[in-house]
Amino acid sequence: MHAPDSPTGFSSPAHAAQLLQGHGYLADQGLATAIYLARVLPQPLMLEGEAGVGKTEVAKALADALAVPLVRLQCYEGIDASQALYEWDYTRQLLHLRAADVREGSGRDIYSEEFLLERPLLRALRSEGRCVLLIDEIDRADDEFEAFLLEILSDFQISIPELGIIHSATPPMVILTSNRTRELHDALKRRCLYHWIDLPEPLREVEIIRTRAPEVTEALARKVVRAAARLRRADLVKTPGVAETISWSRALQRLGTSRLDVGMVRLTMGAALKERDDLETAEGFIEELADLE
Amino acid sequence: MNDGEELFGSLIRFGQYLRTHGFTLGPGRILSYCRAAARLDPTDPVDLYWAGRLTMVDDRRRLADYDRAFSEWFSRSEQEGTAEQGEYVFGGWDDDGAPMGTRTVATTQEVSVVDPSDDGPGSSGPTASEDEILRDKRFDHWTEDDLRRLHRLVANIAVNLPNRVVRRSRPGPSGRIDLRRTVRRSLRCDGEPFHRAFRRRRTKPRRLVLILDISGSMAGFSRPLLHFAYATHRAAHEVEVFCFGTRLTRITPQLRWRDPNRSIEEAASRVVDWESGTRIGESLNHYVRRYGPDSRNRGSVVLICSDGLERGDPAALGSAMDRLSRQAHRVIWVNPLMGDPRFRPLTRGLIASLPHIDSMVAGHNLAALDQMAALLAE
Ligand SMILES: Nc1ncnc2c1ncn2[C@@H]1O[C@H](COP(=O)(O)OP(=O)(O)O)[C@@H](O)[C@H]1O
Ligand SMILES: [Mg+2]
Repeated sequence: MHAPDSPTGFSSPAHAAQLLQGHGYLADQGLATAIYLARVLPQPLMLEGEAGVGKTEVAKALADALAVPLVRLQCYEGIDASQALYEWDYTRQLLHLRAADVREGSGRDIYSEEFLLERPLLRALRSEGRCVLLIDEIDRADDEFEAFLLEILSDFQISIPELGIIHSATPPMVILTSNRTRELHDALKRRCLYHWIDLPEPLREVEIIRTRAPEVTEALARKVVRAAARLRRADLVKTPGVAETISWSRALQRLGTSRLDVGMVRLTMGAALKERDDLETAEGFIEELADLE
Repeated sequence: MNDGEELFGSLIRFGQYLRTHGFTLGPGRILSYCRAAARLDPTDPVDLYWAGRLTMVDDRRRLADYDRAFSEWFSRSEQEGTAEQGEYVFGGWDDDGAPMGTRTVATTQEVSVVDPSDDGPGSSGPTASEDEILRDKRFDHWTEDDLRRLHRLVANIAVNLPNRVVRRSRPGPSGRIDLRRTVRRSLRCDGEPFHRAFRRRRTKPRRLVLILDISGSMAGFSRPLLHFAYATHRAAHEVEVFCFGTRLTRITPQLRWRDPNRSIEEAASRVVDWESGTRIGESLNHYVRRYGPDSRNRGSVVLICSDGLERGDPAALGSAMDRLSRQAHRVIWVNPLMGDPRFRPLTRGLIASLPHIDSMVAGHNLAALDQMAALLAE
């Protein structure tokens, strides 16, 4: 059950988009629909897309919009269940045992709440639905961990041998993201709504830049987006995402320029291209990046 | 039927339509789709587009296929006018999407059983040539002499395979509605009326996949089908052939250059362990896992030739058939036992398979093979 003061969520996809916009995130209709459905059905939402299309950010904005905490589980190679769920605080347990040795009879159980280190999944399970659980970059974890997640997402229940079963009657809202560096299990995908986030349309990207960096003029943002579109057509090691167009626009604005000539491009391009090789590649068509107005 | 049920029915039909486009959709997914649509505005095609895409597509690489299927479905129901009007009529859904139940998915599938006595003995006149006499002779009664003419006779059977839409297509001024581009455009010009983007599609014939039981007494009936496969391949159609007794073996490569008689002999010799009986479920399961997901086999017309006398687990056969029916465009079961008018599909394996078969035909003689071939074009 929701606490009486808990936000009920969204009344429609448009309402979801509007609330997200209030927290600095511009969602298109597909993403707004995905978020809305994830909330009302409720069902976990799997977001896939290139790096920098706003997958992580949307979970943050969502938590803000719903006025609940964001609980983030960042996945990495080799992550295991205990790092995601809970661990016992061995150092404190040892200290306690030693102290108990001295004062005989103080029989506090070292496997009690007090010595439990809550990790993101446990925290989310215990929040009774009052959080957004972000399981970020799940493609970095291995198969085994994926199977473990599937289990958690199926029952929203775990059993801690020393403490018993912990169950969340109201599941939290769950967002999973993947950069698609490997295939995920069908079983996990079947459990989720799936949305592929494309890079934004040019006009929307201009709006996103202006939302994130209001100091940037519209004219400048347009020039940067046009140049970024050209870069994205090239064969680069790391294609610039939205984060990159934002920081490129910021850099230019800070230099106080509204012109994007070849010299300016060369000076600031590093804000959008992080790889040495990519800077060299871009040098080959640098005139096309400059604005000829 | 109220509007809600009608909408529900049309959502399910779209789900089934997606299956014919190679989407693997269990009842759970279709249920999700219905629940999602119920939460949105099902009178709005853009909402329907997203409801389906979010719940039934889970791979970026299939998005184009989904878009194509959606626009086909959308324009078809528009052309047919009243026939599919229910599609976009909003009905009385309650907040929990109440009219749910997976049962409808199974019952909408029709199984037509072609009566083998339709064109039965006696239809050929007294002046019938030897060839004509052979038309009605059960294959397992054919003599060595008869068999020498088998290939020529089978090769005369006309084959037409239905078309499928192929990936490559060009934007064009008319044709099917391209919903993805339409959605994109309408998003781009926020609020502006729905412009329709069109796209012309190219088609090519579907692949024919034969899965032949060559254990014991079935070999006599599978052999003509192998010749049929051979001839179909020669007529420049795409054909894949598998044999099984206890294990599935792909014999398409043999078809390319070998004498068909020899290839079936060779395949038969690779079927080990005759005594343990036929394992249809296991063999089909191997097919749906290993070969079925291949994009070239998806949406194909699948012919299974077997008497359905499963010695393994009938439930395994049922679930393999379920999966097969979702990968294939059509599944036709050739069952020579049907040549006997008293035949009823009463084995547990066959009963478990029936819901997933489009047609079951006898195929026990040339006349019956002709009838079967006519079904392929549907
Ligand atoms: N639709 C959007 N609205 C607002 N900001 C966005 C949007 N998409 C991307 N961004 C910006 O791009 C940055 C990178 O997004 P991020 O969520 O880190 O990408 P991902 O997780 O997909 O790699 C974010 O910090 C945010 O500033
Ligand atoms: Mg991220």
